[in-house]
Amino acid sequence: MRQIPERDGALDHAAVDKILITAHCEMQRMSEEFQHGRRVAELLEPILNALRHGGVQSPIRIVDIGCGTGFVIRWLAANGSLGDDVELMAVDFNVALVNEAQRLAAIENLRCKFAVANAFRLDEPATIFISTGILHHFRDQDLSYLLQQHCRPETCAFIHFDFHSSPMAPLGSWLFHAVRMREPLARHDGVLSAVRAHKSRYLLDMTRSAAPEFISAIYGTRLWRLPIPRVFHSLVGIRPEYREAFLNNMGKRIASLGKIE
Amino acid sequence: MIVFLLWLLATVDSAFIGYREAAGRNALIEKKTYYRGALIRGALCGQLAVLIVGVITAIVLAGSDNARELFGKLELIGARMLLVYIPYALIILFTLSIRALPSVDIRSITSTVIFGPFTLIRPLVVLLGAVWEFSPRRALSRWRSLC
Repeated sequence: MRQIPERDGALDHAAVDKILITAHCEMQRMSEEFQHGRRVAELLEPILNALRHGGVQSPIRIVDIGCGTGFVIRWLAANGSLGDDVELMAVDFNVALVNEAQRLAAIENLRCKFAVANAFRLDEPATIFISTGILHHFRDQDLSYLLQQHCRPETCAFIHFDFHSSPMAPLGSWLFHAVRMREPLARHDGVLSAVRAHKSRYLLDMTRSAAPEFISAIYGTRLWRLPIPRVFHSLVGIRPEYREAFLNNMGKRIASLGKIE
Repeated sequence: MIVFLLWLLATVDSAFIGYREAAGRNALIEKKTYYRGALIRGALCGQLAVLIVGVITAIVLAGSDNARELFGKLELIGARMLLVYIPYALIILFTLSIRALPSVDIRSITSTVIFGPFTLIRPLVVLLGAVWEFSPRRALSRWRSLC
C-alpha cells in the first residue's frame, strides 16, 4: 500500500492535493462514460426555457455546488447549447481542485468561472443551482440546512444529481470502480457513496419541508418505466410559477419525472 | 486465415488496452486526438508482443523435424483459441455500434451491462482461450486417442 508523505506530523498538502486531482480526473472518466454532461444539459434545457418563458432576467446564472475539477460546468461550456444568456459558474471549498478547474478551462478557452466560495454567499447569486454527487454527504439536519439555503429570491430552480439508492448499487459501484479507477481514494469513495445514497422518498420529504417555496420531484429513478433502477437520479426543484412551462418543455422526458408538488 | 485472425484480435485488443491506459488521465473535455493517439500507441505496442510470439514460433518451427505437421497443430490450437476470443470480440464490437445511438440511457446501459463486466472478466477470457487446449476433457480425449 502506498503511503501519503507527511510533514511535521501532518499529511503533506501537496501530496493530498495531487491525490484529489488524480481521483477527480478518474471520476471524470466515469462521468464521461455515463454521459453525465449530456444528462445534465437535457434536464437543464426545459428548466431554462421555462424560466425564459416566465420572464426571468438575463443572465441566467447556473452555479455548480462542490464542483471538484468542474467537469459538468466545463462540459456545458464546451458544448455551448444552453444559450448566450446563460452564465456558468462553479464553486468548491478545495483550492487545489478549483485551481485545476481554472487551468483546464483556460486551456480549452471555455466561457465559465470558478471560485473557492460558498455557493450561497456569492456576490452574483445563482438562478439555478446544480450539483453532482454531493447530497449523500449530508444527512438529516445538515441536508435540511443545505436545502434551506436554496430559498433566496434570485433562485428559481435546482437540480441535484446523486447516486440512486438500490440493492444493486453498492455491488455495481464496486464493479465499476474496481475496473475503471486506479487511485485507491477514488475506488473507496465511489463504493461508499453508493452505500450512503439517500432514498428518493427521503430526499423528497426533506426538500419539501426544508424548501417549501419550491415544488420538487425526483427525475430518472427507473429506466424506461422498467423495474431497472438507474445509477443516478436527480432531485429537481422549481418555483411553482414555472411549473406548467417546465412540464410542457419536458417532452418525452416527462415519463421519467415523478410527481411534482 | 487463423494466424491473420489471431493477429487482428491481438491488434484490436492492444488498441483498446491503449485506450484504457489513457482513460482517466486527461481531464480536458475535448479528447478525440488524445484517445486516437492512445489507440494507435496501444496497437503499435501490441505488435511488439505479436513479434515476440512470432519469433518464438519461428524458432520452434525451425528446430522441428516436421515443421509442417507442427504448424498444423499450432493452427488447430489457434482455431480453438478463436472459439473463445471471437464471440467476446463480437459482443464488444456489437456493443460499440449500439453506443453510436444518440441516447444517454442506451449508451449508459452498454457500459453497465457489457463494457464494465466484460472489462472485469477480460483476463479470465484471455486465460480461458489459452488453456482451452489443455482442458481436462480435451487432455482425456487425446489420451484415449493415443491408447
